[in-house]
Amino acid sequence: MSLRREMHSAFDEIAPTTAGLPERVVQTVVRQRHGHQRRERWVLRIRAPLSLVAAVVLIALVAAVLVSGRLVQDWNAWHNGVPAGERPQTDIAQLEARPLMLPTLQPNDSCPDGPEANGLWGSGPVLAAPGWTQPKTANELAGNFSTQWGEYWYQTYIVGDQVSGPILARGKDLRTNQRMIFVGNYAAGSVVGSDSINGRLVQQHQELILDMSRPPAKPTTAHKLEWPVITGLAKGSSDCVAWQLDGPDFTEVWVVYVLPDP
Amino acid sequence: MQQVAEVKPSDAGRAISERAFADLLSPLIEPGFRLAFAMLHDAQAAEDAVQEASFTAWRKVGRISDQGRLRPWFLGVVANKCRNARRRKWVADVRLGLPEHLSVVSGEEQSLRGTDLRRAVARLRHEDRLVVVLYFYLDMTLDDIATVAGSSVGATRARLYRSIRKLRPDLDLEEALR
Repeated sequence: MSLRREMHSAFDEIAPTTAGLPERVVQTVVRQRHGHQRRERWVLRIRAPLSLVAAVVLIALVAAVLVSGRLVQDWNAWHNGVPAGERPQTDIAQLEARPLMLPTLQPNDSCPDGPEANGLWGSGPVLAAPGWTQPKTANELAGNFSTQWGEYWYQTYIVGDQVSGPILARGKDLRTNQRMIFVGNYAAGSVVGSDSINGRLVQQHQELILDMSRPPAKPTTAHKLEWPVITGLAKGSSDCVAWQLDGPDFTEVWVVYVLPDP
Repeated sequence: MQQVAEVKPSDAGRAISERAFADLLSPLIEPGFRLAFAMLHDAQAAEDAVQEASFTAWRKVGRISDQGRLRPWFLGVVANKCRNARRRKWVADVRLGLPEHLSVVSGEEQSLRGTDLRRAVARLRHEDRLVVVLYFYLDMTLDDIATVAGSSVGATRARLYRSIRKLRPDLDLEEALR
């Protein structure tokens, strides 16, 4: 028996019937859609007076933030002698001062990939999954894409919300020593190049900073923060790449074996 | 291979009608469920993944300009929901590896070989399991699988070969790919 027939047989013999499933799923979506539309209509009716209230509240909030920010800054300067806002920069500088402890492989060395479990790289406190969890395109689901410059991967970095302070990510190709670059919202450090991605000119950086005090979204129910990241390597990279992640009290390394074309 | 219902591209705009949406989505539910079931080995979790993917499809279907790509795109969303479902389970359980007993055990499991194969598939990494299920169970082409996985055709082929080696180390590749 061929593997294909074995596979059909293995799953078909335990798969439940799907009779009525398409109708059930579509009806649930449509019901949800109606609920959504009803909410929109209700919101529209009270939008005008609410917008006035919202504008007033917004002005009050901005004023409060400005005043309280100034107060906090004065308080910190008075007590610590270090202005607020400089502390993260100091922390990042300390992380940047740590050496990159990624080895260089000899031509015949095998790629020491890992740690990896259940499709997630790393053993914590930082884990990474391929793709973004809120994708808008097929590439963002699990993908990589190429430009004339090289290849990029969409990744989601997952960090427990109990971790504090900034986390610095850097990386390189373990065979060619090419430095990994990052683009997008969390890329940091000096600009080392640029590329055109989806018609937009983006700047390439050699560092990525996850600022735990400013996460991209609320923690998940499992108290995890998820960071959508784009990582790249220039053409000519090998099959073995590694990341080093430095946090206030940890250093973590992931090594990933990149599948070569057959 | 099942074809997506014929709907004019303009129907799939932002103001897509319920009828057009149902016509677009209905043919995708069954393959989506089969994919999710083979990935998760749990009928209820598979239905949840397809339902969540359908909500995502409702919100985003208007952005898919090429309706011919709808099927691989939708299966890609289902695959992502499956990965998140497994990740949530992993995070909740703080347990690594394969559960001793899969959650669906049919009383009519006659074939030990089938059980072994399902367990072997379940032990594969998410990305490996995805290409194996899409190729051997949903009978998709490598081009479409590459679209679902968001990868190149070459990388997808390499992943498929490696996954076959993991599943059946002694099986000849040509024989396996039949």
